[in-house]
Amino acid sequence: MGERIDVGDRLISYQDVLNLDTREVPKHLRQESRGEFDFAEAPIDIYISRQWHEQEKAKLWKKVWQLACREEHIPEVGDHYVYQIAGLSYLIIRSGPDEIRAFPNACLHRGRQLKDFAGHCSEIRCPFHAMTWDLNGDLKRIPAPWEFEHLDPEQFKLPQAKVGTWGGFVFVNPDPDADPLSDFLGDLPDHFAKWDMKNRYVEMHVSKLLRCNWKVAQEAFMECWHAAATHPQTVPYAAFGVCQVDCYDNFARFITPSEVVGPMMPGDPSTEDLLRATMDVREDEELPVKLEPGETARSFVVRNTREKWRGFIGDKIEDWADCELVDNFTYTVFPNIMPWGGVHKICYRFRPNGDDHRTCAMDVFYISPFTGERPPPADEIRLGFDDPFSSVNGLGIVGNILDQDCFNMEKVQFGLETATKQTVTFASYQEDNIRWMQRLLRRYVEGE
Amino acid sequence: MTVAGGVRHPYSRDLYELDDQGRVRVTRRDGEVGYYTAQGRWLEGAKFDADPHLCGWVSSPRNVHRMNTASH
Repeated sequence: MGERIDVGDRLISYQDVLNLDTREVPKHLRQESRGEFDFAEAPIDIYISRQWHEQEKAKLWKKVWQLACREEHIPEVGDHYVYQIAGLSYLIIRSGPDEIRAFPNACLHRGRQLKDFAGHCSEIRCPFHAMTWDLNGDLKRIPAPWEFEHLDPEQFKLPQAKVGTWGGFVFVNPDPDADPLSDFLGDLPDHFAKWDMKNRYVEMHVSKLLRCNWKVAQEAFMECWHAAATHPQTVPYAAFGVCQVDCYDNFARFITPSEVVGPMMPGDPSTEDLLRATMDVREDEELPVKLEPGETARSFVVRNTREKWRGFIGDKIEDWADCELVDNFTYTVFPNIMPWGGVHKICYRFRPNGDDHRTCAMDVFYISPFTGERPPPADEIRLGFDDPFSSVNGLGIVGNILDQDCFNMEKVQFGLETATKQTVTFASYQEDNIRWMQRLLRRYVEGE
Repeated sequence: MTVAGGVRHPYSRDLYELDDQGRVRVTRRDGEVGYYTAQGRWLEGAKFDADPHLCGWVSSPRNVHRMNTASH
């Protein structure tokens, strides 16, 4: 007898899995939030049309909250970071101990970008003519003031984008009339309260260029039932096809039960089968871990992860449910960031590659706990189109899995550009996060 | 000829292994053997619909799972 959980003739659900938990499960995991959609298709123009991209630039990227950097990228007053999105550039600067500002990264004089990369400064001085502003954006100095007597300093302040922070992430919104970030995020901070993203740091940052529209790349990570085909080696240990899929206002999530045999796995695999697949133990290799008597794959992973995390957060780990130590909580915050919850440290971000709608940049951040003094954030490792994630040792086996996803992406883009069918068609539940995304996108871009 | 790190396909039960020439050797349940590229393109031997994702998986450098390390 193997590890398959008997639920009779019906499909197993995530709530069945939660019923096995040995600790109190967080309420938000118990509360499903199924989306309601009156469409099952989207036009492929969204992915391939230059016109759509231009509309995204005007109506999405200039109007929406978006992740620029982490607070630890700019810990000291004067530290700054350059954030770029779809032909737009913003200078993110710590202007006070508890104050972060964002300015369009262009000199008001002749337009040169003010900062070319991240660094530290005591004032914002344009390298072209040394026109200078203080960290608050007020005009500070004009090297040849007699040439600019026609300027009103009050009218020559750097324009500002809105800034908000959550969980150590720094968000910007170019729209001066935007609602506060806290309104935009809704209940998301409550979901992540225990997972405490603020007291983590950027352990890894790897960016990679991909030959596809940014939504083709992102949507590949917004459902999990592709895993049975794209990641066949993972089929024994994750319950693909029965993820819980929840949609909220500006964020969504799907939860993939892990170390649970799902309906897309044939037969009744053993505990060792699950762990061998989990840890990529190959044929003729010994399982490198020892189980306690009566232990399941799920209880083994929970026990080990709880002890590892005890080293980071002490006995507070006893308040974490089993599910928080083993399952995959994949969130999307509209439009383009995907922080994982629980013990997972993955956070993805997707952006057009410069102003090119047919290629994109995918960022993989590991937002990790630490002990002692906060470590500095990792430098960005930049991968080109043909550099695999698996070449970055620090990503671990996740890099290999990401390569399998990337293997599909440019072929999806090519297929969309050559297709005769002018729409993509979505599943009725497992792809609801993508439908949620498409609906919000249309609201921004088409004003629906 | 040596092969390394075989993975069995969960559906077909075919065995995917990387040989010392960098080819993916796929052994079917009936004993047939075919050789494929990391992208799943047929090279020689038995010709069938090899899974390109498993061809890529066994061709990639092996990286560790979090359960195999002291990392979180």
